[in-house]
Amino acid sequence: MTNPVDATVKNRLNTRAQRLCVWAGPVMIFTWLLAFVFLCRFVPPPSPAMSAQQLVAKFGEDTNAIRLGLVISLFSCSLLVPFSSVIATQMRRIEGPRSVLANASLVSGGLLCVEFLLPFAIWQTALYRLDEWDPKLVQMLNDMSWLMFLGIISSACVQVACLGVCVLRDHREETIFPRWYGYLNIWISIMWFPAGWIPFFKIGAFAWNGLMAWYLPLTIYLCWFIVTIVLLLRAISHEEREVTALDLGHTGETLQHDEPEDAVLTPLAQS
Amino acid sequence: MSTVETSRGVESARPAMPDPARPRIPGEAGIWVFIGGETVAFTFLFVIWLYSHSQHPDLYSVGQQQLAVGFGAVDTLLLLASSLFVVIGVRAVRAGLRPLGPIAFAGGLACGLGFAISKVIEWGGHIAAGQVVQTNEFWVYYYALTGMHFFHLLIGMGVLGWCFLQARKPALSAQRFAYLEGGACFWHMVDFLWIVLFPLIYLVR
Repeated sequence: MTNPVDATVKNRLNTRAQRLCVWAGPVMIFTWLLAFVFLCRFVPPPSPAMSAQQLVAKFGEDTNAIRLGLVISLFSCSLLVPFSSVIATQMRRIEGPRSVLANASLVSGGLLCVEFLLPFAIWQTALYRLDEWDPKLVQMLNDMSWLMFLGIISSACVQVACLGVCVLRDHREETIFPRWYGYLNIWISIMWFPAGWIPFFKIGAFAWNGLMAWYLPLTIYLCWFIVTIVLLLRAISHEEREVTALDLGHTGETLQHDEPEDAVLTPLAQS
Repeated sequence: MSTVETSRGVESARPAMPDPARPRIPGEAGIWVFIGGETVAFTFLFVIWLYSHSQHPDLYSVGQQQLAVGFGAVDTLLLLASSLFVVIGVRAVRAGLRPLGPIAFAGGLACGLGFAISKVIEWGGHIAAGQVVQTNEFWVYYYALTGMHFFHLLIGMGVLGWCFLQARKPALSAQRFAYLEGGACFWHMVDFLWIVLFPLIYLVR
């Protein structure tokens, strides 16, 4: 365990790229949040009960700041894809070659990225000719953005649910992720569920500016990022040490035919 | 899954009877992360209900009079019975009483199904009477709270179905039994949350 990690092991496991993808996660979430809070000023979100005129007045206060916030959000949210990719890569270590849950999680992460990006473009449309358009149209585009942005939560639910199930199905002696992380992901999947029901509510905690549909899912998303980043970095380091220890234990032998070694490397070679 | 099945049928693989002298967590530690999280989330809901109640006492007193307390009471009895079934089921599996385990879990599942049917009829009545989510804040939270609980009930029924399948196996490894116990704990949580929701929604004026 205390052996220094060999450079060839780093190359074989592609650990630098893996770590880079992990750090894409915090860059995404903090850049997006800063843009969303300080430039767009969408926290707290404009109430769904707001009239069209009030909404146009709010957007008209500092339109360029909102535009800038949206452009930054568009770039930062694309980083969800590398982050989802490294999660799926570590899941493949659990699942082996038939990594259905990892694939499902990766594709859901990609879809989630699209579901993040499109509402930003719709907000940009609403602001593009803010003064020329009928306030009703601006309201409709804003409704559409929020309903998409928060209402399409199902991909995120599937992404973390697959991760959770995969973690719970890890039956090796020393698991890649701790088991409580599996339960945590399934719980998070359930906690995001109320966000999908915002079309029914214009007031209260289940509307898009409410506690259960916006603040709680958002807080949980932040906490999920922090926990996931720590556990991913730990899993990558652990794999490095594991493979280094195996290498040292088999000096002179051809590693490619070593069975536990293969088990570790096959899923990576596939991806 | 097959890795933990190796000890199937071996007497020593049977889950040990609990030793009262040693502190023990039912299920595995991870499931309590889950149950703790759920309890916190529902606590938010209870507080939201009470806050909204204090803001709109008139809406809530009119709304609560329109609720069917009978449905709520029957639902409560069904869930209490289901929890009893689940307790019997877990004990039967632990003691190796073959036919009783699956029967008890099926009983619990049937009670859960009864609750679901009763809730759908109750909602249907309100919707037919024009009492929908958009009516006012009372109905917003009535549907939101009962709906959130219903969603957990559906998940719980899936979990009980899994427990039923496990209970039918000739023997369970200690690890498998811990999963079964964790599933039972989840169901008790669904029951417990309703035990709080029922008086809160139907009775507290």
